[in-house]
Amino acid sequence: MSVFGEVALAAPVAVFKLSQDFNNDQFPNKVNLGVGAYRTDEGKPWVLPVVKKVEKVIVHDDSLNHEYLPILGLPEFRSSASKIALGEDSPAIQENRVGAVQCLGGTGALKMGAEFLRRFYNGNNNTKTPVYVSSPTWENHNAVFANAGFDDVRPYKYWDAENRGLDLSGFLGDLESCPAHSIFVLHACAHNPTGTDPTQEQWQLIAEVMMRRQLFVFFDSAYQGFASGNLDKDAWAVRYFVSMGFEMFCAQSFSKNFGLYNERVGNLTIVARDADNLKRVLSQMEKIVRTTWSNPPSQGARIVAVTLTSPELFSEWKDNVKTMADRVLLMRAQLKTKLQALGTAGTWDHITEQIGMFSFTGLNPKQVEYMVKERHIYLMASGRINMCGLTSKNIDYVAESIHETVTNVQ
Amino acid sequence: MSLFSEVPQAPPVAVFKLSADFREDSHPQKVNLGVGAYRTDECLPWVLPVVKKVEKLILEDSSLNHEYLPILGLPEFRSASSKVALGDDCAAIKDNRVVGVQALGGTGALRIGAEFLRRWYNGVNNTATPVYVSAPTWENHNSVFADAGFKDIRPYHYWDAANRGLDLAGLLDDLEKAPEHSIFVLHACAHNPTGTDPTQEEWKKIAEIMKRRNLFVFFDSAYQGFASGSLDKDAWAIRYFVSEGFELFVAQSFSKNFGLYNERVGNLTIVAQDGENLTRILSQMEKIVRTTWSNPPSQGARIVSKTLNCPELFAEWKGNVKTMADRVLLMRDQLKGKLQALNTPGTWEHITQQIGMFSFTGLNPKQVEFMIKERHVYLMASGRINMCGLTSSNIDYVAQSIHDAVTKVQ
Repeated sequence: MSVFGEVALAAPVAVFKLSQDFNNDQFPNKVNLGVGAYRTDEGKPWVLPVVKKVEKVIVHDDSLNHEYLPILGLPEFRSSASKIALGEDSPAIQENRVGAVQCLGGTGALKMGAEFLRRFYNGNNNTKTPVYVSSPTWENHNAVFANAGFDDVRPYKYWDAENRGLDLSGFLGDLESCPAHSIFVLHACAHNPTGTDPTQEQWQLIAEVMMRRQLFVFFDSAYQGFASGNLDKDAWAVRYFVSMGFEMFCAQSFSKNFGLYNERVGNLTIVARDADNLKRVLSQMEKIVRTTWSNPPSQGARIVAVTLTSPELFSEWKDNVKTMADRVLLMRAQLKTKLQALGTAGTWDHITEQIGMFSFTGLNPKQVEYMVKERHIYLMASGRINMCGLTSKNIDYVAESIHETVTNVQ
Repeated sequence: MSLFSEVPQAPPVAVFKLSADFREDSHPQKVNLGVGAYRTDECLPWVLPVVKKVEKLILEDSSLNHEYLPILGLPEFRSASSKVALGDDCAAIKDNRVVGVQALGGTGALRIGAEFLRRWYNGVNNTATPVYVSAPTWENHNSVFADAGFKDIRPYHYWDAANRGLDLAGLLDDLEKAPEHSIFVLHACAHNPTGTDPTQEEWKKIAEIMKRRNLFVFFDSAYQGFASGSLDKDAWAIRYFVSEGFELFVAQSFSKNFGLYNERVGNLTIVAQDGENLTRILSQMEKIVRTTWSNPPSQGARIVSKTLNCPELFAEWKGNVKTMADRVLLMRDQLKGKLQALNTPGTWEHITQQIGMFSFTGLNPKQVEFMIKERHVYLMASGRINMCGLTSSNIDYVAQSIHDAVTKVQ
């Protein structure tokens, strides 16, 4: 008899199951539009040229060693990462009220922030504070906050399926009616999975309600630079909220914009009222980090820090980011054009209106099943596709497949 | 008014505070015998030659990229790591009932193991299962299990201060009296902080009771190879328990034996009764990992994996490990020799009897304070010293300082 006899079998994470099925598929024209990682026009992963360059520099730097990083991470990484989000000239940074915790990707940053908030926000160990995540949202948001101890994780209205856009009035309605001090997880840009972001005016409306009703702002920023090709543009919402005086968290990921997925490079940027509050917050963050991973991994953070703090490398990085963003924009434009040329039923403007890696096609579950089973095109059951999976070689096949699906399957 | 006004200042982690104080001390002869990291005889960090070699190989391998690792980690790392702990010829491995989960250092392995046990061991979400940690133990053990949700963490007798050795009777008694199914955290070798390990005969007694009383075995293995210089010797206890049929966890760290402290290389080895149980366990481990760090960092795992899986590199690594272990043994030998030559009161046999990086000197808190304040020799309040901090240049000064502390301060 095993001590583990009663352990239940957990369902696999959907996006990885999809990739696995794709890998097992023998069909020659198969296409993977599932997991969110950049691909070149050859359908291959891309190690950014600037990353390859900096890795060489690091390996040949004999002044470096593998001694433990501080618990909160590599100092030059933390400060340069926060500057990227908030801007070089951020008054909050100049006022010494911005701090950061190097974390294990965006997930780790969300986790550390969630653990802190559960312990210290809205009372002590208040597991009842509602946490709102967009409907829909990245599938892991709910679980991260739940596992951090929050008992009440709820959806806020976001996606208007009928009009294929933002349900602003629903969103604002939830902001007005939720309990005060509720935590809201906001996507800084390139909303996952819908690719639909509020406009600047809409963000202003959102911020006004959140300030008035004392709601906590927790940004998830996984695509800065990747969404529009411009770092500042993609950080507009985060910076606006900071300028409005919010105390807030921003979970940053460098997985996508540096292509450093597997080195787990993330940063939790903390904006507090003043340096004293920040100091106490960081001291508690240390305790949380210490019992989770003790101190963070060095390699990825070093690559990012070296890049961000060198003007030439920083410039080269921005170019690499623009290369990726531009290819995505090209695929968006071409897919829409091809669908329109095919006369595919429905409107397809959302393909170019949506931002970032993902597009919410509007395909329903039956249509998705048809795409996967009959056409060997792998996408999420929600209809989400990763634009990076499109290439000049497969885009015709994908467009035709969508056309056939929409026409034959209801 | 800040959202964080009520957040208390957390005290710093003692061992890092010690290092911070050491850094600020301008005394020319200061010595740091605090934090547990290897130092050369020049008192410098040491990047293992095999690590430097493999880092270059990785850089030159253009088939590698930075795509996400699987949630459970790099497969070849996981299997090679578990083999290092359990032995190449381990029957349990051949029976397909052993698996590893790549984790963030030893801390990360302990944490996900603890999270799993709290959810699935001894009932579902049984936070009341007692967790026993040795008295004394690594200062983070208690917090890791507490933060994983366990409410009842207790000490088990371990260190006999009067006789400067293992309190075997106390340990066995605690095993007999512990509630059935209690979890025991055992140090696989080179006990931190006492450096005192059970003998093989003593381990057999411990195992007998644990099996009879259905106690859960959770090994913490942070010093394999580093303790005696021999990987197999240092893994004897783990392998004995496995051969006795226990289902158990082993949290492995490669921080010390690979000198890869800051790349966070760890592995949770799981031994189950059979492969079917493993499948279910791993599915739940995926869920836990996904909400903590999503998937682990690549660099350190690649270095270790490449090394362990290549006979020449593996041999070179064992040579590097022996270099470190031998230097520690030399320092132990010389320190004892010098204290005896000075006729320092007390017996100093324990310095060479104790194993691994640390020695529990037996200095009391007042004497420790003297060492730090008057002699600028930094050690933990418990009297623990890191032998790696000793060098041919400072060992006379340290011996003399200990002599002064013992003769002047009671």
